[in-house]
Amino acid sequence: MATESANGVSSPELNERDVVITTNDNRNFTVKIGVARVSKTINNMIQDLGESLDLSSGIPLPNVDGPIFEKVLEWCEEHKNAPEIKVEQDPHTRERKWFTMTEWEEEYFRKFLSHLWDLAMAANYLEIPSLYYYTCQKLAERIKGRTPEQIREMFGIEDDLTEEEKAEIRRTNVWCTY
Amino acid sequence: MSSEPSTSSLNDSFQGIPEEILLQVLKNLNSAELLRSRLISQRFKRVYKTNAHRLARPKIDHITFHVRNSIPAQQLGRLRMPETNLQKKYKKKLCVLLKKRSKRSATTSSSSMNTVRSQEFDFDNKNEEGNSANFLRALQDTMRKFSITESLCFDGCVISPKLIEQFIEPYSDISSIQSLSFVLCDLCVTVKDICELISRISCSTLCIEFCTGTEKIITDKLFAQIQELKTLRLQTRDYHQLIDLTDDTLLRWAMQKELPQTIEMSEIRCGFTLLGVLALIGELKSRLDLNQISNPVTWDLGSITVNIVDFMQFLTLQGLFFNIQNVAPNSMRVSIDLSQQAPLFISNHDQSWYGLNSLVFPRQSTRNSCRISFQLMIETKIV
Repeated sequence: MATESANGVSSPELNERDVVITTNDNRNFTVKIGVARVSKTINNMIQDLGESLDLSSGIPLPNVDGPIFEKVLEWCEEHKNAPEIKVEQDPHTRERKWFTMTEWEEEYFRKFLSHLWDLAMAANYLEIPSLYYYTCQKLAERIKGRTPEQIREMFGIEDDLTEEEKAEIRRTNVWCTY
Repeated sequence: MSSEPSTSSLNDSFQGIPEEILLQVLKNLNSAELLRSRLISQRFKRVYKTNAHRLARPKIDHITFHVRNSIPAQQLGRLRMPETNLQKKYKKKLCVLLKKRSKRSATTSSSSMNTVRSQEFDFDNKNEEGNSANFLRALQDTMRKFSITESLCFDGCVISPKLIEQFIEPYSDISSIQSLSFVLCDLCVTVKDICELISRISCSTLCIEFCTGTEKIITDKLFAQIQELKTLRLQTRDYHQLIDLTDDTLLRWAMQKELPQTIEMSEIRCGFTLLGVLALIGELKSRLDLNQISNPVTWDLGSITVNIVDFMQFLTLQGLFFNIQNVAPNSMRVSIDLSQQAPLFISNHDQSWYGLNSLVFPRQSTRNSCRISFQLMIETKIV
């Protein structure tokens, strides 16, 4: 993720320097630039600011709150040197090839199981592909093999389909059992 | 998975999540799971519906686009005058038939297919342009939604370059299609268009039957595009229409890794020569001797024009057993059964030609039978 740039912002020494990031609930996080950079959004801000970057005054993140950013930082710390992820899918059926997660990643999601949607939203905003795609996969894993009732209960979704609509969907779904 | 965490925070967050993220989650599901996910809520149903072309799609083994005329049902039991204008009463319909091999019989028989979806679209008799636009839309919709794995069949359709284009679009997945059929179609395309289509599929079975415009489609150029032909069925609308196929095609077949298994072009008159046909048969014979033929071979190579000198030479050919039947004046049907070491039989129905004796050809089917037949049209003009 650390791409070399002409103004020397990506130099290894800089990665070791601290930057202050302020979340929307006015919490300040002091983070190593190398870690913050896992987020492409933050990386772009650092690069745009270039030499004028005042590390102490901080970078504001108006769309992320403290508790979630804390969890995101945990991921970034672990993935600061990780290679770019590759999304693969079957060209015929467009079925996605699932990522294999490390023990650390499995544990991470187990810990934050009730915050998956928030994590996905934060990762999407902060542009952290690994966290974004992995969280979405984890959410899909939770949908897989569960009945619609279970899924509704799990995500707190209101059952707004009429019986006729459900019957119609079931009727058209019959053939996928062949 | 066993310990269910408190769902309170999830409750709040799901309502606000953007469609983009929900879509990203759905991208991880397979087609059956996606179809089931529509039962969760209106939102899931809607997101699937509007993004189906980006999400996983089911595999369909066989697809047929069938345009047919149907007469609307008439009330029975009433005095009816003879229909004077039946044509007006016909209703044109496009039927898209999707078939899937049933899982249970996948191992036992290959012919068992289940119709998984059949969609009908009414055509307006007066509005041809609108019809073809509707057809293209139905085709586009189908190709986006499904991955076709085995065969593609057009029945009674007008094949236009625009239609072929739909298959070349990136959303169409046709690369694993092995069988392509056109039945009763109007082929309003060039051989280049068909070649373009064939180059994108793994075509081993080709079937062109009773279509118009075949004379410019069935050419050596078309067969040059098919790497390994397994089954070929050709029928023209007019009996013994001359087709521009030459020995180049026969030579191509003879050089295939596996020789074609079935060739049916009995009504076709083409530019093959007896020499070319014999070369192909020679290749089959030598492969048979080397035990390289594992499936029954049945070839009917249509009608071949031959001059009398070559024909007489053919009669004296050594090492090949065949049966000749006089089917019409100056027209002989030659049948060869390579798996049977029978002597030369010549049967002559009208007893007028060369006075050959009529003999009966023993017919017994063997597992690895190799049967070849073709008709010889003899030019009696002596050069």
